[in-house]
Amino acid sequence: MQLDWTTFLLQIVNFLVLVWLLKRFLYQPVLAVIARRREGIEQALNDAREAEAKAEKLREDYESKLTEQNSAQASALARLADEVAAERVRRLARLDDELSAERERQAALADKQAADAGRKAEEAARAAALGFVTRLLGRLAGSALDSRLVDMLIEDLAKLPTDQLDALREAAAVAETGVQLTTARALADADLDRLLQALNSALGRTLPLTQTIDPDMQSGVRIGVGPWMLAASLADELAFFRSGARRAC
Amino acid sequence: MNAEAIVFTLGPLAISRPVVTTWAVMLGLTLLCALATRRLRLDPGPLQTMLEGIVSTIHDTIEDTLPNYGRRLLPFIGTLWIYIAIANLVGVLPGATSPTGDLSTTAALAVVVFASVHWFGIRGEGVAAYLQHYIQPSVIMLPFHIISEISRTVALAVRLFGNVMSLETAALLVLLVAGFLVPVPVLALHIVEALVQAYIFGMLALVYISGGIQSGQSRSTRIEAGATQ
Repeated sequence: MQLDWTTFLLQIVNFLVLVWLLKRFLYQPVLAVIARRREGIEQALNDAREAEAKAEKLREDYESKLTEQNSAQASALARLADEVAAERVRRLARLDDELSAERERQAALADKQAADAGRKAEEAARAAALGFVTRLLGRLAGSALDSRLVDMLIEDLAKLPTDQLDALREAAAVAETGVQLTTARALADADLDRLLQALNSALGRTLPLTQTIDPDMQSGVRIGVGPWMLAASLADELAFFRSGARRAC
Repeated sequence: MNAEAIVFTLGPLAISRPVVTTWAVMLGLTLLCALATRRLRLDPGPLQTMLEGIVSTIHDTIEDTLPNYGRRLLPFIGTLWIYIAIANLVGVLPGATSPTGDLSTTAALAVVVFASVHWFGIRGEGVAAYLQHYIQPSVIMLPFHIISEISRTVALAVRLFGNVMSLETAALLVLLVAGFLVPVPVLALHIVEALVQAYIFGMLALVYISGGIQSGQSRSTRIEAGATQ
């Protein structure tokens, strides 16, 4: 346990040199790299914080836009609902109008169909009645009915209005005008005489007579004077009845 | 020092084994640090991680004891810890002796610590302010402060020298008496004791420096408080 001053002094110098060496080759480089890493970490943290702030801002912007969009969507939906409701009301009204028009058309069509059906029924009934009358009168056709129809013609001739009678006389006055007599069968002489007497009396003269037989007339007579025709036959009456009934429909 | 401890002479200087061993330690440490810190990367390898861990631990320990003085005290306190730990562990190697088993070395380290206490204290507060604490709270305390300074420096030197020298002596005695493998537990104890003594020496140095710096600061605080009142 001795103190050697040389060693003592050299060790002091050695230690101070070692302090410098370690400071130069150990502490400074290591502290520098630690500081550099810390700066890098701080930079990364700052970047991360900035990125987080940006992300937060983006998120807030997005939420704000989302809220605006939701609001706009809600208002658009409300507007659309109003428009849909209005359109629905409008279309329902139009549909009601169309339905009313259709109902009226259908009612008119039904009325027309009913009228047509009634008319057809009437026509059918009339045709049946005409057929019945035709068959009935066909069975009654004969000399007796001819005689009765001659009487009826004589009566009608007597009741002719003056202007018609004058027109008939003017036709008779035309040269070479004769009387065309058409019957279903040959008239009895008495009936023929009565008819010619009444005709001559009405015309005021005696015209030549041409007689024709037409079985289709069934019964009665038809007298032609120039353009004029006087008829009292079963066929003509039935035809008149048929045309009258058709006009009535 | 006996003649056996002299390795060679350099002019008038007799170079002893502790000095040569210290040079070897210095050379090894410098080469290791220079090579290891030549290409430091932000993504460290195992060796860089170890170096960063050692430096960070020393720095944090200093900061815990004396906040804001980490970078300033790191070279001195860190070199104390590293050098003393390695110097103590050199004794474990066969044929080698610890430089710290020599009183001249430990005395040199203690004197350096003694000087550093005043150096850092004066650097922090100035000469007058620093020297004021020797007469605080009264001038009567001046001799006691001086005795304290000397005694703790002597204790610092003798404690390290005594522990290391006694461990080496005990290991040598056990090896001579008991045989080849019996000193192994003693050598394991040597390793633990070497690290503990390095830690104690460095911590005491740190505490002394801290006391020197904070004594000036506490006095400044008292003056400021008096001026305020």
